[in-house]
Amino acid sequence: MSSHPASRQCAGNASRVRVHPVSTLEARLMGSAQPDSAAGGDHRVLGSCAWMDVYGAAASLLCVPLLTIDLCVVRMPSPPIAQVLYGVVASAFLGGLVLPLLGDRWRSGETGRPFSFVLGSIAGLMAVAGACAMLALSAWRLHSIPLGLAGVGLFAVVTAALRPIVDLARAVKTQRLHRHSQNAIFPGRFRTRMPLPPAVSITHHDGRSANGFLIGADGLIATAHHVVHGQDSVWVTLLNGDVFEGRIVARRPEWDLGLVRIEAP
Amino acid sequence: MRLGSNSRTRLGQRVNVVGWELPDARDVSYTRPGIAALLVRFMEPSVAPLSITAINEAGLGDFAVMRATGSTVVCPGYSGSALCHAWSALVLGVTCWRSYHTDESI
Repeated sequence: MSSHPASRQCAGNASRVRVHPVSTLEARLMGSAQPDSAAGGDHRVLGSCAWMDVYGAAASLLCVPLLTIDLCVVRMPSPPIAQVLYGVVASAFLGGLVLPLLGDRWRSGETGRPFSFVLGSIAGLMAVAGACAMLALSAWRLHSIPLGLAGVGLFAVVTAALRPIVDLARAVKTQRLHRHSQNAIFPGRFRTRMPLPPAVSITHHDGRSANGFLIGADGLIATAHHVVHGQDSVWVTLLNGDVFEGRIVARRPEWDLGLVRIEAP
Repeated sequence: MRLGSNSRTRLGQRVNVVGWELPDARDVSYTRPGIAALLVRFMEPSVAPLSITAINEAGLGDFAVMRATGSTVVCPGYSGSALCHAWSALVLGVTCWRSYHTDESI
């Protein structure tokens, strides 16, 4: 059978992301294994701050036009204080771009997120310092504080405007893959390279509804535990409108995960 | 079916939720239309970008339950939806709309 066109499309991106077979999830959920004491059951809020990455990159890109103006337009000899400011700006350039990447790569232990958080925070502080240095430098060299403020403000606006555009591009791509996946609810196309899990609607017998998604061609559906809490069976509606009665086959309240199985047609 | 790894997932990262279009989602969810939400309005509301605000490590090969908000497209009924990597669309985890270990409704 030929591979799904959308799956071929995303294979290049997927190769950079570590993947796990769904059997791991199924075995851990349906088996008797208890959650790891270090990793399971606790609610941890970890991770680096993405906005610091954004402003680090923004400060880095801010260097380019202002340095160009400073070097090509003003053409003044640089005293020591200017060299110090240039050094701070260059540090912000490197910090804003390199440190977040290192924070991802140099992970410590199972999650590594505290280390990533530290590097992300350092990168963010360097970015702020670099932006302040660039503002002082441009105000001093151009003899115009408003011009320096305008440069910083303009770039902040550009950065803020880019974020939803990037989000939209990502959503459009996922949307396109989602349309492809709607044609493959259960048949053989739903294989390991399926880019998007077909969404299903889970409805309680009392009428409340939530979501789940198919993770196995045999009708296995993953959802949150609190969605199926207190239920032995639920109604499952597929994208093509077919309704099945699903059995709750596994529930892990400590992970807030649940598995529902329906009889595959 | 293969699941992605969230080992590089960080707070604030943008992911896409792939959920079921609730009948009244369009009516109740567009309370603060930003640029993205306004444009996504013309697409299916079942796929929307979200920002991760909490990660509950499940110890299932980096599979996690994540609380993700930041989009006006989805509403609490999206609990249990798949959270997908923004570019590869591999599943990173399950959406948990509510705060973990609370009794909010689905």
